[in-house]
Amino acid sequence: MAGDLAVVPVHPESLPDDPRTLRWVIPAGTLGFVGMPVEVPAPLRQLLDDATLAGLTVEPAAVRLTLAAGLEWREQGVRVRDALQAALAVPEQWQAPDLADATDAMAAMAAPGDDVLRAAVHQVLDGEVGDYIRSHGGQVILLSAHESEVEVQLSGACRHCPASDVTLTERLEGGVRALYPGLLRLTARDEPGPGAGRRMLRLIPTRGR
Amino acid sequence: MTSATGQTAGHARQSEARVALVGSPNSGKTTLFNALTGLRAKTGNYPGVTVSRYEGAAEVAGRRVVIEDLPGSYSLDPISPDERVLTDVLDPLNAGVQSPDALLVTLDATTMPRSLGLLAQVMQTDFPVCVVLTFTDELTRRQGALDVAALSRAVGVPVLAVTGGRRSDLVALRELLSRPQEWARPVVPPPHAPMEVAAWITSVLSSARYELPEGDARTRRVDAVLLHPVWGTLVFFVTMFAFFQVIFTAAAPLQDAIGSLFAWLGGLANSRISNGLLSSFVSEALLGGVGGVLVFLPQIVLLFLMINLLEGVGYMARAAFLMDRVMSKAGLEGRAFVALLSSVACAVPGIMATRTLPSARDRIATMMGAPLMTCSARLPVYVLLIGLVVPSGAGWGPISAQGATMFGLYLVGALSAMVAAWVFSRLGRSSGPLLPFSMEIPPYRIPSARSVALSTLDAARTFLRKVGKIILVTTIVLWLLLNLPARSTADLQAAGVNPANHTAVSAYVIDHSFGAAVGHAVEPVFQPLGFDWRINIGVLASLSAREVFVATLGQVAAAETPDTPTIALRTMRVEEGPRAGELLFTPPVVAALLLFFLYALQCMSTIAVMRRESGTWRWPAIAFGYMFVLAWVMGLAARLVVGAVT
Repeated sequence: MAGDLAVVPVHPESLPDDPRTLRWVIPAGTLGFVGMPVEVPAPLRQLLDDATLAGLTVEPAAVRLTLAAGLEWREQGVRVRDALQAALAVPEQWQAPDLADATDAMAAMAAPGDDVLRAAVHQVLDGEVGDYIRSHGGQVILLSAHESEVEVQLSGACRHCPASDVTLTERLEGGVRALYPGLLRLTARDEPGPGAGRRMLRLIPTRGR
Repeated sequence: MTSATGQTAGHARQSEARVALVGSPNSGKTTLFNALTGLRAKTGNYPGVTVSRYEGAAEVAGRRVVIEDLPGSYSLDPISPDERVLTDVLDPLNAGVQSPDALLVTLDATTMPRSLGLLAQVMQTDFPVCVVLTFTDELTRRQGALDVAALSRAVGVPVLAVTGGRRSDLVALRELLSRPQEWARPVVPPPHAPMEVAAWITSVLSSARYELPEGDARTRRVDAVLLHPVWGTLVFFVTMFAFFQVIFTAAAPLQDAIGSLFAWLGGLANSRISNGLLSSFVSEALLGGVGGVLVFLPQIVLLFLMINLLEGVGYMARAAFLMDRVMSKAGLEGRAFVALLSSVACAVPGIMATRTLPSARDRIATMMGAPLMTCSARLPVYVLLIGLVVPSGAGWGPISAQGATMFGLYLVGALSAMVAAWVFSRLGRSSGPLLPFSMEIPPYRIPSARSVALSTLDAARTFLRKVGKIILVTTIVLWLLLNLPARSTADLQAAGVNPANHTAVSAYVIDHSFGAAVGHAVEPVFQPLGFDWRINIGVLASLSAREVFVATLGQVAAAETPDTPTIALRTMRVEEGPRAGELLFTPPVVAALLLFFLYALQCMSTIAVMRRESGTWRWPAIAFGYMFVLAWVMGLAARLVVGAVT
């Protein structure tokens, strides 16, 4: 999209339990990091500086913006959207959070984008797909998210379910790929047990893009 | 947020909420309206069917909600009068129209990228909005996909899928309709600027995992033929031809049955009712006149059944598309043809459909042509007259000559309508460029039997209502005119008529009635066309409604030959003048009559609607005048030509 004059596609989604925060859905892969950025482009910086915005967090395919207390989205929405779109047009001016002081050992040897991928998997597992798996008595644990590959562990009712191949690859992988288009593969292994081997899940290419 | 709620709720009465339906043309708005209200607004797989505003009430959770069906529009920037209706209603500052309390927006799930543009505009208006997704079944059939819950989250308003007004889908919608003030409102309304709107649509659809449906393979294959300039046109004419064949072959037996029923009843009335005047009223005016029109119910039902089927399947839109090519070459608006096509049922909706035309000049031009399209009121007249000169058995193989004649009349009517519209648009044209015409070609859909049956029944009901009102009233007036002044026995004896011979008496009374005097008075005008006073009085009476012509002839026939009114017209003879003694309905005279009815503007409803739509008496007067002259000249020409060849 570089050099393109097109406006970055965004739309806000409200959160039922937090009226001051809106999740502004942005195209996956626009920013390439998650968390609270160290620096944001001028238009957004200004809104943070003049205390219009009280908080800003980047998710795999969204930016969470929290309005300062006493302000209404109805009045500020258009201004914030314009600023956000202007800022998203220059993704290189966003400065990702510094990972150097991360205590997590995995973070130290992380490749760029791993944190986004991990956040994407968590978001999917916390969302509708996770709800579905849990409703069937299954459990999925993220083992690793590294260099665009994801490994999860299946347990509970998933373990011997013949449908878990299809269910997981289609649902989990589709969900993660929507948030992290660069996903290469998603593998799952059963809960360690007698004779339980590593099982590669078939990668079903998703339709479209 | 509170201020907006207060604004829209302020003028709502506590008891009933008002919800308006907004949507693109052909997005299933009217189907939803009918399903919610149980009313039967006409629907068709044909953009632009709803041209005026409809209102109906729906019971939801014990409350009455008034639902209003607004004309379909692709955007809130009006370019034609019918789209103006929509923007007026949605403008809270417009005091002239009552604003709704909430809006239901129907979105065709198969055309989401375009439909969301309208939604974005509607969501700017501050009304509570609820989205109803239609055609989701078609979306999945054509390999598309959409996550309804995610869409609702993304647009920030409630979204429900309702397929074809299915009752089970409506439960949740009714639930929502009972409390529009509690609907989720978007915290930040969608943007205004076109580029930003496009970005918003992309973002929303990607969030909702929208997959565009594949082009409907069936539709594409069928359209390769039906929209082909040569094959398509051929199919169009063959379809229409077959259409009129069916009207004669399938409806004739039913028509005969109803005809015999009325003849039998007439005989019964004659023999059982002792009061001479009452007996004459029942057998002549009611059974001969009004019954004579009712006989054509099967044809009317069949005509509308076929129109509704063709429309529901999606063929009419294609016919309009094909004809648009022809018309645009002549410099005519494509929308004009849509209006003309609507006039096949009746000129009144056709003239109202001219509201879709952006240019006032083209509107008037189309209005001037629309009454020439063969409307359903001409059908009984044509069937009766054709039956008089073309034998029912005649034809070539399976093709009936009667049906072919009817097809010819429709064809001439349609051509004349287009030529008239073209001439009038030329007369007033300053040389403005043609506005681009885009019409949606809907995919072929199997129309629901219920909706076809309902609109056909509706047409039958409208016909019966017309028979019961204007035709009945005119017939009674005519009966009075034809039976007054009353003749005493002395009068009759003085005239040499045997008072005991009922047939002779009624023939004498009619021949010397006020009606006959009127018929004789206009004889100089119609004599060149070969009409005698009886036809004249029928033609004059038919100015109220064309079917009255049939009723008048039926009345005269029933009075003069009460025993065999069905064949009376065929044997009716000219009474006086140079042609005295000859058969009245000879082929040249019938041809003149057919052409006269083809061109003359004999319909008070059409004149009234023209006055209303053009805002002046000038245009109805011009239409009436030019059509009368045209009808007279064409009638004369037909008489001379047919007289020369037979």
